[in-house]
Amino acid sequence: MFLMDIPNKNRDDELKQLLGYSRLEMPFDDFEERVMSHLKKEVQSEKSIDRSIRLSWLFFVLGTAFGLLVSVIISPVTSILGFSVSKLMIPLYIVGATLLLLFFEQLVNITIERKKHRG
Amino acid sequence: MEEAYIRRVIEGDVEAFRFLVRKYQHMAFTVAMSVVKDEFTAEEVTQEAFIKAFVNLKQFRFQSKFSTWLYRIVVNLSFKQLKKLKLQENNFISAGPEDADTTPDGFDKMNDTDRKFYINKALEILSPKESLALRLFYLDENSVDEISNITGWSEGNVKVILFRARKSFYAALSKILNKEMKTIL
Repeated sequence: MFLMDIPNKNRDDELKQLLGYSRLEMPFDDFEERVMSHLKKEVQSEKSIDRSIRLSWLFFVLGTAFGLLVSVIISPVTSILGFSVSKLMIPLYIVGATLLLLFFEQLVNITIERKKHRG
Repeated sequence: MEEAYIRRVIEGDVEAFRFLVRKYQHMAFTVAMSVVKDEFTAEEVTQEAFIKAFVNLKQFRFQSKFSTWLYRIVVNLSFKQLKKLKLQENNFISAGPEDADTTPDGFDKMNDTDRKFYINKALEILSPKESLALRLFYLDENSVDEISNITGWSEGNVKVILFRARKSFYAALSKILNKEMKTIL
């Protein structure tokens, strides 16, 4: 083990000279182009993901606003075809609120992940 | 100069990355070849490494050389690939204590093309760790500390591997040349 720490300049110089022959050339001429085209596709796909997330937020906000608007519009109506509207609306509100929360959570998670990914 | 290109890539100039690919593709390929021992696999690993480096370039903190950071990615991917290929360590040559660590006779008389051929052949039959350590230390002239950063091995381990690698390299070279001489005669 002790021998490893003793510098042997001649041997090191010889090995440096010998190993100088061990440099390999990339044998595929189109390597650089392939990497660059892959990277450009990568950038494009990243941009498209960001665009999709922005659109998702937009439609989420629009959908929520539309839902609220509809519930405000139909609130004066007390009965439809003899059924009480307030009783009909309770399950719809529950389903709607659950979906709204699930979508919101998904969107927040995706947005945070993207921000982390972009650094 | 290199730092300027890296900063341009981080700011969104994809084309600036071409400079880094052009500059490091050969050494990155050489590093990958040391481990995986197959041209197509090494090319695949090198390409994957450049893509990974591009995607994670923002994490590069300019505290080490870019080459050290890139080769670390290449080495990690190469060993991952090697695990998939399940190459056994005992398939490679390893020098015994009786093996001499000098250049075989007749090597000095060879021309550069032959030397290149036999040296790469010898490195091919060395274990991935040993051929990697030799190339990083003697060819790319990295320090023990830099090799430790690239490979994740401790500095002591790098020294041990280099010590063994020197002997194995000479043993491999002798073995190949003796075999060649027997074939010729």
